[in-house]
Amino acid sequence: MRKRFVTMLVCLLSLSFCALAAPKPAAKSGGPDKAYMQKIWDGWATLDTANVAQYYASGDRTFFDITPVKYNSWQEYQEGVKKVLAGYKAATLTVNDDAVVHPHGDLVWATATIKTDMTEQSGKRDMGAFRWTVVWEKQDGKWLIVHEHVSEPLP
Amino acid sequence: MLKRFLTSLACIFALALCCLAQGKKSSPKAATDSPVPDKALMQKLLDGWSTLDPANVAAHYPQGPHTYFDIAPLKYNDWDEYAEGVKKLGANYQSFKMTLNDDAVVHQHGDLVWATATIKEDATLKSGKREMATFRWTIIWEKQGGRWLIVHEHTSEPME
Repeated sequence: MRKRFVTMLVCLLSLSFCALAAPKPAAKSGGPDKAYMQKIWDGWATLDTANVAQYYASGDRTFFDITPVKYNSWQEYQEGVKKVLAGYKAATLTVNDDAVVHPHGDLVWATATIKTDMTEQSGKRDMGAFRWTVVWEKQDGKWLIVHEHVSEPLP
Repeated sequence: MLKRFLTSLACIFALALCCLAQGKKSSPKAATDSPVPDKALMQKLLDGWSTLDPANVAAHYPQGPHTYFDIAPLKYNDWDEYAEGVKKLGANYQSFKMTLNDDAVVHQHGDLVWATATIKEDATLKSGKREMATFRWTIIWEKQGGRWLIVHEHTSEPME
């Protein structure tokens, strides 16, 4: 009887180790989603980079915006965009229904088109569509944008 | 004795199942695996696109719904749309050359690779007009069936 108990115990322990060693599935919640994507664009719509700074990773990163060719860090990005945004007095930026989020463990990438409705300081209204590719990485428990590509198609 | 034998057999069977399930994830690379995307592959893709014939790069793209953002129009929803659209645009050119710039960066994340780069474009329209520009390129590959396939691509030109 004791031997059988020991055999069973060894098997159960082995199974437990086996289960522990198995790869963990990616977290199903808490990662960036469509609501989070809209939140980021709501931040940009305030025309103040301070309202989106918390979403971006620091260090050397590549960010492609409408203009210029590229930025090499969040610092460069916010300084450059600040100048562009100064030309506008209002903006509404809406993530369209074609947004798709691809979770990949501690990396998430997503694509979407963005409906843009912006008013220049002169009062002129600019309406259009952006294309957005975004890559997040989980760093110290926070999802941060490590790459972003925003563009407008050529006419 | 028989009971003990059956108990042991059940445990061994359970362990074998467990190991088999894990083995699926960690099996060694198949002999047909394509190499991990790198800068050389990126230039190879651009060389393929520079022929203005999407058939020369089709092998790198999966079937099914995928988002591709090109210089124009707004977006393509799968490879077939993409190839057809680019073919039409390509018909306006007599030559097209794209060169990967030194700022290309490739990031591997398991069976996903993403990369960014700027691209030097030097093209000649059928009218003879020369067109030179810098494109921005974001590209995402996923390993599917041992092959690295482009599941998303975003190519754009900055506004002036």
